[in-house]
Amino acid sequence: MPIMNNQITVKNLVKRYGACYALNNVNLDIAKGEVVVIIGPSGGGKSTFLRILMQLEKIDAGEIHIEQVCVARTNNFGRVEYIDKNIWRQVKQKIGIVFQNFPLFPNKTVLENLVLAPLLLKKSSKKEAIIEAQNLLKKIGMGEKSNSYPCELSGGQKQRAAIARALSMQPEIILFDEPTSALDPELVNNIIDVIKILAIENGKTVVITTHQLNFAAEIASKIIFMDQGKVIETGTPQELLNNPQSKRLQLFLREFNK
Amino acid sequence: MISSLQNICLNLTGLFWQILPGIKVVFELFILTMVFSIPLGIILAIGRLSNCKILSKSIQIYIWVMRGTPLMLQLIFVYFGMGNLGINIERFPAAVITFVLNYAAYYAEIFRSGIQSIERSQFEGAEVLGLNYWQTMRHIILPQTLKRVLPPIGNEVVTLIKDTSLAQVIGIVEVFTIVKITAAREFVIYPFLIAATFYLIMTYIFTKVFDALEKHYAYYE
Repeated sequence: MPIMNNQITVKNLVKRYGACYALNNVNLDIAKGEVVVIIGPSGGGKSTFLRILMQLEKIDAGEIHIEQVCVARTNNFGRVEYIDKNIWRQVKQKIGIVFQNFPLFPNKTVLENLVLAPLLLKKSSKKEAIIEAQNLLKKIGMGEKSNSYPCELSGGQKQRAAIARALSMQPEIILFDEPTSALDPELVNNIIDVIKILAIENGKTVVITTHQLNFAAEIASKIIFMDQGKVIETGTPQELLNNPQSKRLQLFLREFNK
Repeated sequence: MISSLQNICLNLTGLFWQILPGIKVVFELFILTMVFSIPLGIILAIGRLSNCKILSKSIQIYIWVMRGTPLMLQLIFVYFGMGNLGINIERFPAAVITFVLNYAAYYAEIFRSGIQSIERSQFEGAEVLGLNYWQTMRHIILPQTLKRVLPPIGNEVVTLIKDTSLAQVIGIVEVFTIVKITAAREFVIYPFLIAATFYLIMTYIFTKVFDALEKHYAYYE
């Protein structure tokens, strides 16, 4: 199997909240350098999936491989076993995540937000970390804001800073959990550009959840449609958006285009 | 008339020199209590929030006992009670220990509520960057907590200034003790006014200090 190329593989993933399935037997492979966009209605399990990859949520059953390391799996007794915390911490350095509501650290300046993790975890020299962070900020047009506190930034600037922070540890995989849905529509293109510049053009593996189909069409190499905790359809943007096979996706697209 | 005014002035200066050692004691007790009880309170708050049930429960009981019994009783217990058990502590250290243990319980609850008021996304933001628990606490959570708990801490500090007068029950000579003796000896009331003025000035100073601290931390949010 071409599992060697896969950076993320999940098998039979199940996540329940009480009697309600947030993820119901999800199987996915995400290869290196792919730009995967997960679309679907709210409550369809998109965000839960990303949070599970970061181990912010526990799973009820299934198997997760990240960078060819099995980080969680159901054992023979039906219980989920997680990888040793120290190994997980190393694996986690290869993944970054950007949340919908950009939780920057309010007590730190933009620059301090960016250099915090490299200084603490990579033991980079202070000078090195600062130069790297400033380069990153310049690339996304935030060079002048490096000494501002998050409260002094607009929503779009906060999200750009949050993206830069997620990249400060130079992850191989970057997850975006609805990166634009808390922003004004005119800022969406700006964020798309930042994602392109920082992630896609650098060959990172990108997984994005979104409600915005134009977003998906523009940058995705693969689109996944999820609903009620299940992967309903997978394919290229053309296949999914122009020629949906499942009834559920046809309905979703019709609603969307109204 | 004039001679009686002169008399009062003389008495006042005399009294001031008498209570000066008491002021020193109040200051020492106050500073030492602050310096030790706030860090201890932070440690207790973190322990109270820990996943270790035994630790969390024991701290809860500790806080219940320390907040649930009078400070005066605790002073007597530490000084005389320990003496009965064969552990002899000097008066002043006994007072400091009691005050620290008592105030740490209040600070623990203040810091606990402060830590719990920090949004979950802050913990998650640090976790996904790979920070461990202590790094998250030190760099992200506690600095933000400190800012939020300044007003209730200021409240406790003002209470502490006045509570130092309780130390007299174990024979510590502080401002209130001296004032009481003078008032009883000369059968006058004004020494109490002097004491009141002293406490008011102290609380005024520390209210201002905490206002300044709050302003200082207003640079974000």
